[in-house]
Amino acid sequence: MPPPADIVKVAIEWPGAFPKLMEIDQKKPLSAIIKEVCEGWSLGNHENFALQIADPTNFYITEKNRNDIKNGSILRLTTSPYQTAVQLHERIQSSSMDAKLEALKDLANASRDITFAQEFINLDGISLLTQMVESGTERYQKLQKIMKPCFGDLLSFTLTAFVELMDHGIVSWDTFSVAFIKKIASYVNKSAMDTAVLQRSLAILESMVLNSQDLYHKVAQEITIGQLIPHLQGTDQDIQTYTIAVINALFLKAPEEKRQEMAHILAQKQLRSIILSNVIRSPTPINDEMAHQLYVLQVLTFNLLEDRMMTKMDPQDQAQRDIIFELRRIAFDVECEPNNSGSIEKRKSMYTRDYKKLGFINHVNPAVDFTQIPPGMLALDNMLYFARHHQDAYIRIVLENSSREDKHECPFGRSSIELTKMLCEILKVGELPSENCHDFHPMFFTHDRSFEEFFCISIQLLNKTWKEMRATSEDFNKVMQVVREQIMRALTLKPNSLDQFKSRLQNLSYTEILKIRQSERMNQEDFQSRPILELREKIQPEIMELIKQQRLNRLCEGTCFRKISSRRRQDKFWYCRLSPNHKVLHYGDLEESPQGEVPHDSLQEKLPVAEIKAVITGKDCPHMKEKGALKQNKEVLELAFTILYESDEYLNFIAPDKHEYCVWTDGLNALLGKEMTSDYTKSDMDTLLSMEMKLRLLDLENIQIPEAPPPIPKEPSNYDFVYDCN
Amino acid sequence: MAPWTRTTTERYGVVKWNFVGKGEKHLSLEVGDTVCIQEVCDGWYRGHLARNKAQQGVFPASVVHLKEVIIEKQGLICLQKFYAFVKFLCVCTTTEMRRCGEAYGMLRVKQVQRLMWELMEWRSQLLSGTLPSDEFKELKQKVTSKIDYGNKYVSGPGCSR
Repeated sequence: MPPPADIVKVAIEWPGAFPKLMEIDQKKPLSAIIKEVCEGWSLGNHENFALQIADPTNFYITEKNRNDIKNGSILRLTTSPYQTAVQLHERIQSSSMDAKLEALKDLANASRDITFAQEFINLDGISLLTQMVESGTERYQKLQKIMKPCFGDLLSFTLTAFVELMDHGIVSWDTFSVAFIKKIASYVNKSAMDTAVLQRSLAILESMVLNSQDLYHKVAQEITIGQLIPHLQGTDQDIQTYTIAVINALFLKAPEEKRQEMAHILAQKQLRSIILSNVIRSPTPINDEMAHQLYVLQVLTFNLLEDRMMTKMDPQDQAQRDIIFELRRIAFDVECEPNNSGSIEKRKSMYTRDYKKLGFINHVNPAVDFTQIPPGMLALDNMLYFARHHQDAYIRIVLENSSREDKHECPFGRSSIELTKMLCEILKVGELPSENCHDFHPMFFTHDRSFEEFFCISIQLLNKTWKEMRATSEDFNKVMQVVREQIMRALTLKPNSLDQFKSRLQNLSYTEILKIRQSERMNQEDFQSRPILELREKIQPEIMELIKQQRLNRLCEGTCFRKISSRRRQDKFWYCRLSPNHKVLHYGDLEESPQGEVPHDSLQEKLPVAEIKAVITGKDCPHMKEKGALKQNKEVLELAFTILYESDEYLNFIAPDKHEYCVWTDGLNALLGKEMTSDYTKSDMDTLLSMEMKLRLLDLENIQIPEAPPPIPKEPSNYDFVYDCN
Repeated sequence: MAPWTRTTTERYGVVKWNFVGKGEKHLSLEVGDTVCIQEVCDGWYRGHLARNKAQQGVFPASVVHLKEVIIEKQGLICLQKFYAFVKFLCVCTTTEMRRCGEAYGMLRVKQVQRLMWELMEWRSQLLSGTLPSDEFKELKQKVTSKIDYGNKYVSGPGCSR
């Protein structure tokens, strides 16, 4: 019988006493229970006590969390959170360094518990800690030289306690003074700082920046990227993670106008290559927290593209139009201003012809193509980058497609614009980083212009896929769909470098994508879902019945068996078949293997089905137990079966082959109303069932089968149809 | 008391959950069935099975996944025909097989089966809508010729089906 729901059985410890087993009534107030426990050990003042879980988490039991106590838990009677807070508040102000250190250690530990944290904060503990950080350290500055290790510990426990207390989110970050921030920043800026202190300081800075716009400004004034970067060059991944987290926080909170500036500084300080060599390419494997921070940095970096992505081209702007001229110049190697090449009209038509070759939608004024946002000017930036930095590839693509006249050309302009838009979608440009994502790509840290390079690789892929698909302009979206799939698949493998990404794409040709799709379709059949299982269950007996009919029909046709004799093998035969009404087995000897149907009168013997008691197979058959038969090889053993009938008589068979053996044992089992179990039945069943299912579910492709039964609505209120079909 | 109305957009669908009807008005459906829909009322549809107009009745809209296009029938009928042949070959008796002039029943099963898998795969490709138009045309031709070949094969010499 289960114990009553409101009672939990626990053990309670009290230092120096024998633990007590107790049943806690969850309906009673906690204070009453504590009082009871205290009285048990004759302790007075039960208000000063509390219960704690006796495991490393050590949390206090409160009215709120008491329902989490499980049967068999071990609890500990201890001083109440309030009392502990008061004591620690006092002890951390002790003048003895040792006592103080010990107290701070305890405080750091206790602060993880929210109940304690609340009490300590109520005593204004936070400001006590900040005061200690602000002023206290100076007092020990002189001591520092003598007692350096001690000072480091002291500070690190102070900061740990602070971080833990703040983590509960009880106190707002807005309350901190500039002096405090300066102090914390100074720990970060100082080289050769105690690791624990550095880590806590970085954590505090990150929280400050993230939690208060006001503090962001103050922190941003106190520390510079240049001061943070050296921390990345160490080998401690925790410190590196916290450092990148601070950079991310500063990046995230920077007002828009400052963000580009900051990106500029980051580039100047070579943040990317430092991260690449000291973090991504370091021998230490990257942990989840680091992966998240790198992901955030990646997202924030790509978000810088948003501005260009959302900027429309201004057709009147000469500088912007010059970019288009430049694209034309590089592709066709023509002078920008062919002074002596005839009339304006002629020049115009020449431009139009070239713009058509470049694959713009609007041949007359390509600037119009870039007025769509996204991708806006970002597409033009990409095209120019491609033309300048991968000139050969650019010229090849443009010329290759402009010389085709068969509608199979891949328009460079249009595809660049669509591709840029698609890449922005893939990278989610403009979206804030998500909380628990670790999806960073090492290859984006291998190049300062990784987005542009990403584009250059992808536009060449698009051109290749276009050719592989033998696409025409009406297939544009289909090609884009395939290209997206190719990129997504290559990205999921997290290539280490852009070259690796490129070679992954090489392997993911259009035919390969088709193959992958096909195999996914084959494996997609979710035969586990309920309606499909139901359908299988329903079809199975129908097919089984079909197989049974076949076996019985085969028995009615009959089979010629070889006779067994203990003497030398002679070709003697006998024949057996089932009567059409399935009631009698007719059999008789034959002189030779029959050609065509065996006449009825040659089968004199009769065995009524009703007299059959059992069918025996294999080595249990009597004719396999005979002396001579033991010498029979294994093959024969697998073909032998015996009908056991009325008054312990046998009819022994050796089937001509495995197939015939299966047919007969199945048929006989069916006659006896037993299950047909031969391999032949199994394979027939598999073949037919899988084909039938596949056929029936053909139109369900890409349709999600619900997990729970869909609700069946109330019966319609009437059946007065609009049309009467009958 | 909402009246039944004729559907305009909801015309075809695939059944995604088995529905066992109660009473003669209901149309029992099995997952994978395709239905033609004519009228709608209070979360119920009235219609008939795409493969058999005679089987008609009302069924809950919630068990149907609507499709925009008419579900391609031609290929499906062929596949069903081939399946019937596979079924025949799997379960036919020696005499029937001899009548087909065919001693290699299983071999034939494998061949027709492969043909069926191929056709199913192509059907999926054609219906997926991701094939470029050139390839679409080619594949369609290939399928048609395969079906012709298959039909000849299925109704091979001496075979009664």
